[in-house]
Amino acid sequence: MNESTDEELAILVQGNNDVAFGVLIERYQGRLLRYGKKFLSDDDHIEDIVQEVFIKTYQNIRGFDTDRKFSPWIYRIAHNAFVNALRKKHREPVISVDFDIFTDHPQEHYDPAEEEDRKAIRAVVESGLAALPPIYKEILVLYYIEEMSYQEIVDILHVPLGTVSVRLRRGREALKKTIREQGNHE
Amino acid sequence: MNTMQNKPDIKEKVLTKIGHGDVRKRPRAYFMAQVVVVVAFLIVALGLLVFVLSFAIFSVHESGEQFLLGFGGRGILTFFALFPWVMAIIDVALFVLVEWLLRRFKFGYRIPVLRAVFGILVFAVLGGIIVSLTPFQATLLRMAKQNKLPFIGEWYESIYASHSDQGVFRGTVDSIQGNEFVISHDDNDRDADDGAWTVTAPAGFDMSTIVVGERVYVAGAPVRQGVLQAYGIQQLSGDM
Repeated sequence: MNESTDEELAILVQGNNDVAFGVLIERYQGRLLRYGKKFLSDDDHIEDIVQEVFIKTYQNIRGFDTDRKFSPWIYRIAHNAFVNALRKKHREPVISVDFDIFTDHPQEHYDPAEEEDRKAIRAVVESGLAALPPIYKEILVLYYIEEMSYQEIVDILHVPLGTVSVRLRRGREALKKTIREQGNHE
Repeated sequence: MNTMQNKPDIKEKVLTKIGHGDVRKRPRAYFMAQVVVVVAFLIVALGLLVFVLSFAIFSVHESGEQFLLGFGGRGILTFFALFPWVMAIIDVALFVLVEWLLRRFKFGYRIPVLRAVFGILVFAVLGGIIVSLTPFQATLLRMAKQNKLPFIGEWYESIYASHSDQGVFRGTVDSIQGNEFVISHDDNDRDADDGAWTVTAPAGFDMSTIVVGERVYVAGAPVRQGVLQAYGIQQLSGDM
């Protein structure tokens, strides 16, 4: 069962195989905790929220379309749970009106060295993330740390592909600025 | 400290809840029903969007208010004052509802909002124009006149509402003399504006287009009771 893909496990869970769900929890527990920790502090009971994400995943597993990838689907559930937790904490919209979703944006393509870039940038992203607004923080986490593709991010955030592209570029720019400022202060 | 000791035992907690029956999987039918309900709402909202828009087009055409657009600046201002804004507000609300419902689907959130809005707008306008060209709205109007149209009958009755306060009159030409003619204005409300009105045509107006016995649409300003200085005149066709 450990060699099965997430989607194969999801099909088993859709039946009545709860052991398969245990394997899915093992696979995603660490990733979702790491994802949550980028937005919430330990005081926010991230473990409880992640536990709730797994419960929602189990409850809604029969609504998962097994022709699609499992990871964006469970990350979508996690995204909603973390956004709700942030909303409760700040008592205000975490992501206000996002004008980037209104218009078409040309998708920006990387050269073949993009994968190498991604690994190199990952460490930089980790160091400068805390000072960024949530809208950029999340997209950088999904792309550089969770290593999601553009299309997977589209399905997690429910925004058009061009928006992912433009938000990622702006996130990188904001990150560069933050790191530069941090360097000046030291 | 050992990382295993730090790792919360989420798996055990979740599986225990599942094992105790505290958490259950929703049946596939639940998700299918959810899709069916959203699709049904979408179809109804799109249908209403087209219907309300077609009513607004039909109403502007049937009441003769479209002629105001050809009567210069004052006509355009009066057109906007008489425009069925309530219909426009209902349509905007339906528009937002359709957009929101579309975003629940993969094809909906993958396209930019403005492109989706443009698509809905084209669909609604084309649909509204096509429906307004069919006998559908005229049939509903006839039913409303016969008091056989519940709920929205008043919408149709309001098409012929009096707008004499805005200087708009509909009536039959009784007589013509020089650049003046007399109309018998009757908007079925038996108020002060009923009766004969002497209309002075605007400078340069071709009086040969005015024929005794025919109905006209007049926009102007009352000079005194029973006398109207028109800034726009248009013949009405059919039973308008």
